[in-house]
Amino acid sequence: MLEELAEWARENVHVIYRYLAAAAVIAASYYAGRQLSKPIYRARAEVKPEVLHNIARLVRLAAILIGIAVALSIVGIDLGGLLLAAGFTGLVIGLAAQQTLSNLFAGLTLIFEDRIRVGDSVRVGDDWGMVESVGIMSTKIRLWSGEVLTIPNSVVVSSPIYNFSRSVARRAEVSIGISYTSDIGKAVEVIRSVLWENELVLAEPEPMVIVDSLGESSVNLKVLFWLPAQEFWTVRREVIADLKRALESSGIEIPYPQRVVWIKSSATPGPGPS
Amino acid sequence: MLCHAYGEYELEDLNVVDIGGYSLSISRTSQSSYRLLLRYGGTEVSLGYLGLSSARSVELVPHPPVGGRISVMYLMVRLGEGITVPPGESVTMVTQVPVDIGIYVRGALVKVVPTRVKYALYGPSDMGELCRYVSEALVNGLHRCLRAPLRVSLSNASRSTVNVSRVVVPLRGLGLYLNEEGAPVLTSVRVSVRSQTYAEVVTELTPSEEGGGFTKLVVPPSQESYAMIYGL
Repeated sequence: MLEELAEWARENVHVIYRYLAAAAVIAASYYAGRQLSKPIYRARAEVKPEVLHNIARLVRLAAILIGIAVALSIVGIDLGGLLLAAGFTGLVIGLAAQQTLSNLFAGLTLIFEDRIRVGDSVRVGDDWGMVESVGIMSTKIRLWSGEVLTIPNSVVVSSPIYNFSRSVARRAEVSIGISYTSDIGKAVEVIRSVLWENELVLAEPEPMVIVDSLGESSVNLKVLFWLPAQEFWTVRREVIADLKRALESSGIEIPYPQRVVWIKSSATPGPGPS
Repeated sequence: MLCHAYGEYELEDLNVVDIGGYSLSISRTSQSSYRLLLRYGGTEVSLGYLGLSSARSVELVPHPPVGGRISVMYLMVRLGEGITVPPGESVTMVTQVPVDIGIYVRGALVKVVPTRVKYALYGPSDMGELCRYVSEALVNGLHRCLRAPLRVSLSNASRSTVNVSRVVVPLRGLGLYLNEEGAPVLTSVRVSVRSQTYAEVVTELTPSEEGGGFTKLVVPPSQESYAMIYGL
């Protein structure tokens, strides 16, 4: 038995060498992939960590694939035929895993287009929260209510994304209705004064007070002012409360919705068709 | 001495220092803790606590403007309606800037109390800079001890006439002197205009007031620069 095995080895020594060489090439490519990706992981480039992470993974994968291709050619497998088969297999897999691939490419789009970053305050569709991670297949958002929402990247990419962390300042818009008997000029003056007194309402771009419309019950003013993004909600709330107080103390009425009702009677006819 | 309120104060249970209508109160809350409050025009702002176990006095000194509630690195100075400068011409103007109050303990700055604060956005909302804002309306009525002259030297190095209505100054480069009356004087700023949308602003080491009678350099200046790329 041993003699037969030794005989077979002597006859096929070149085949054994080829397989050993192929295994060594694959091992070397794996090692090379690891060594090449390490400095990328540790790089201190001015790009997002997820981009570096994914580049490092791609480099490692490419090195291993090259190693496998070289190993296959060493053992005598025709790469042309294999690539043809791989192409056909890829087509089949592509059709079967359309959704997965869609998420994958959407993930790459998100990462390389830099639409959202970890820690950004965002609104994706109807969901508001902070980005926890941007993965290859999905994105995690910690909603303001505390839950972690995982959204497939294809959905994220196709949804409108509001990124609030990219702005240093945001514009607030407040609508105020004043009664028809109130002085519009005085109301505008009071509003401007409140905005000027609040140190966090930006002086530039200059706040705007617009007479927006003549409503059913009130003259509607629109107040537009800019705030530092990180203080947006706090200051907006403060300003609305201050506006109400200042308008009331200046004698400017903020009316309830109201209707003028004419009661028709035969003794005292009111206006309108009789 | 015009600004006699600046200076050193022995710490008591309650110290109230009035500097030009801004009343700073330092009240002891425990053996080693003092509470800081600022009152002005009906407004009261809590400035937090100061932990002092062995120090028995604090020194109040004017300080160049700082960020305040929002951390900012620049000061936007609005130059009224703006000034038109033909090509090759230079102009020097002096504008007033609010100064803050620095609290020093044994020569070390421990807190800066902002006085009259407004902010402005320079540039677009996603790439621009939030700046501390100064305009004539903001400085009007402010006591001389709480404002300092800032000399701005503009030179138009472009080929066309430019209109400059604002200057963005790096706060880190501004230094502050006290003049003979003890009033604050900021160091000056040089603006080199290259086009209607681009200018270089450099903080200089010289004081903004002419004459050499300066008694004290409070905050040393440094040469810092900023490129105004979003228009003048």
